[in-house]
Amino acid sequence: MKKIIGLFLSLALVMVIAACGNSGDGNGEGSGKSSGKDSDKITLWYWNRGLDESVLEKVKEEFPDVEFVAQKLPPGGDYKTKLSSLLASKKTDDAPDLVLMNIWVSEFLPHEDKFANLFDYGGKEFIQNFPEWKVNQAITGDGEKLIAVPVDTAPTGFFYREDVFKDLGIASTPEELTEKISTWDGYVEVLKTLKDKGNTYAEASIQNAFSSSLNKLDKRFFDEENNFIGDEAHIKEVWDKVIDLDKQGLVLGNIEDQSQEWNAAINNNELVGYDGPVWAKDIIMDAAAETSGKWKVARSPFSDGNDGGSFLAVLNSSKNPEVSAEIAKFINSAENQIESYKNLSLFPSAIEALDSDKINHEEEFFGGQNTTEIFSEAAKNVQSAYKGPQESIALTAFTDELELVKTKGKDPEKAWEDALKQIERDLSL
Amino acid sequence: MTQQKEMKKDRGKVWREIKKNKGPYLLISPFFITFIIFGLFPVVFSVYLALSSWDGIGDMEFVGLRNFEFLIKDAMFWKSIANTLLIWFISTVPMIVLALIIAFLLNSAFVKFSEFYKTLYFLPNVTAIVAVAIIFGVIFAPSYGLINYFLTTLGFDAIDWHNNSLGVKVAVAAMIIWRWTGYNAIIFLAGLQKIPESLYEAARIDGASTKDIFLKITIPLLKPVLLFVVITSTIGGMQTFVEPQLLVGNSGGAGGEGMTIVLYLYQQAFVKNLYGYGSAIAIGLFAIIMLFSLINWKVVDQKK
Repeated sequence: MKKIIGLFLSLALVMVIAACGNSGDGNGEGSGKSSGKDSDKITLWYWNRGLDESVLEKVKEEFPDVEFVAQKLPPGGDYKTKLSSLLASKKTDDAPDLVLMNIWVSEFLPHEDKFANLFDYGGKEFIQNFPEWKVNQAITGDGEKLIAVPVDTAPTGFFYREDVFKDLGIASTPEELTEKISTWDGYVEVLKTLKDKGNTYAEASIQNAFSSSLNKLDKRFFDEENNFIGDEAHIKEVWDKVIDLDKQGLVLGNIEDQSQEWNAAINNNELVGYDGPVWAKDIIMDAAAETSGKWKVARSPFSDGNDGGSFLAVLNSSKNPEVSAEIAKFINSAENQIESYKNLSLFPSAIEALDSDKINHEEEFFGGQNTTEIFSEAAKNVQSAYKGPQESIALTAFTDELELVKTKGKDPEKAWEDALKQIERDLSL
Repeated sequence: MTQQKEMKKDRGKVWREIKKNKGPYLLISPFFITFIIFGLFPVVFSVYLALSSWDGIGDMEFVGLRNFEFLIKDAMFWKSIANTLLIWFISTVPMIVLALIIAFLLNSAFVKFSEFYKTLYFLPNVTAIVAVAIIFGVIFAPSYGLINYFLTTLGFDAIDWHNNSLGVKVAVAAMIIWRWTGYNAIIFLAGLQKIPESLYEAARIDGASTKDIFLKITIPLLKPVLLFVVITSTIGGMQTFVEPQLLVGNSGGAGGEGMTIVLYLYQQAFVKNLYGYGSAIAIGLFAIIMLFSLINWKVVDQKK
């Protein structure tokens, strides 16, 4: 009797373990519990508000032969970690076919072998529809492989308080301001007027001044062979410029972008301008609801930038890369991107969508201005800059040192050297 | 030699014992199996990782003790240890004192609605830590924060809670104190209730004051509970992470004044993708916690 019970229990245990192994990754919401390995099943990983769900519904209509399952995962760092461990694992039976990737797509370029080369699935023609700078973020250094197709973009603009700028006699229209801040010196002049006449600012921290200026360059910390070039003149120039900005007292403080402190500074009329991405629009609207109607958007100072935007990739382990690639392309057709913009304010990347009249609309918060026009123009003019996989190592080192210059009065030259030392160490690890 | 033989014999005995009692061992096996997969394996793997260079996806490259060579020379690592110890000290000491006082009051006869207060004091511990951090972030905000508002209205200088070396630690410690005082008070309360009422009565008959009763009866008899609280808050304090991360970010504020060991580990592994180096920091943390446990153990052992 005992033996039989023992046998029964061990059998149960084996079954439990086996079940654990099989379902593997039953994490995502609405993961289809279909048994049987159906090769026509396509699974997608995305995060909340990363893709428009009504477009995902349309996928099911467009591809009736495919069982399309969209799994929503927790966003942010968790998502990235989950994707990394998925790519590191050797078992790929339960891996999704399509994965949404954020601006950190470049960190995955060294692992291009984990992704399907979309150039093999009509990618060459498809990317004709998109601005070059955007597509380049998902192309390997040698130009041989396209690991993902563009989803949304995050062009920058200069958000500012029209009333304040008018009162101080800086500019009365966005066009006039755009003209005035089209050069670095012009921008500094405007910041000076803000400070001297109104005791107001448009730069919240030296780190943000640094990183937003970087977003306008055509090269950053690494060249396309991933050699470190962050110690060269193009970075040092930006470094010196922002240090100088701080020396002249034109930086408000050490206030992180879009933090509570930042919201408070905007509400107190201390921060009256912000060179930020299109998605900051909603944040400013929430933070400064009382000043509705007083804001306007001009083009970014001295050059258009980009700060964010995601991509959709097909994994190499997919049993159906062809259909997966078709789905990725379908989700990002101009028409669907326009719909996503309307539903979720995911700013389009397809040129046809950017040029379309359908995305234009007047916004009350911005005094009836059609800000979309400004951002879509910017989106077409962003500089193409290669981001290496070790981007965050370099950026963290520089911004950490800049913070020391600002808060502890560290000597800028010493700070520059220390940043380079730190990067050298981290890159050797 | 004989010892070895004996050990072998012992092991054989253990196996025989397991074979004889298959049923019970089978019933407890799920715990051990999940522990091996989710507990033991990651521990062993992180030791291996600490000896490698790995970006999280690609191939692991074995580099021997190189990560540790860097670690010993890494000023930020030592700074994070000092920060962690300091935060632990300035949070644990006030917390234990406060918790003791609260427990003593809750246990005394003159407090009404003690059940209500017990729940109230425990509430911070079950509050989502992110929510706590946001509230404390507002309170300790450097430019527009609540505390600085009071300080400046009273004519003092505002304190830069994010960049001032001590300021960050005080802000983080305040968060820890708020969160854990009630929890520890409940534990103390359980200890207090185990002290026989007759001792107090005898003391009162002898004319002892409340202060005497507290210092000469309550505290000595609470020692085992006190030790438990100290050990758990040491382990918790060594792992301080969420509070500084949410307050001053992944770099621990200007110059890493709020950088704790676990935050440094997180930054190296998950922000900079230096998984090998992150694991080496974890091993360093392990060594420190071992050291503390050893000291604790010695202290307890001497008592016996």
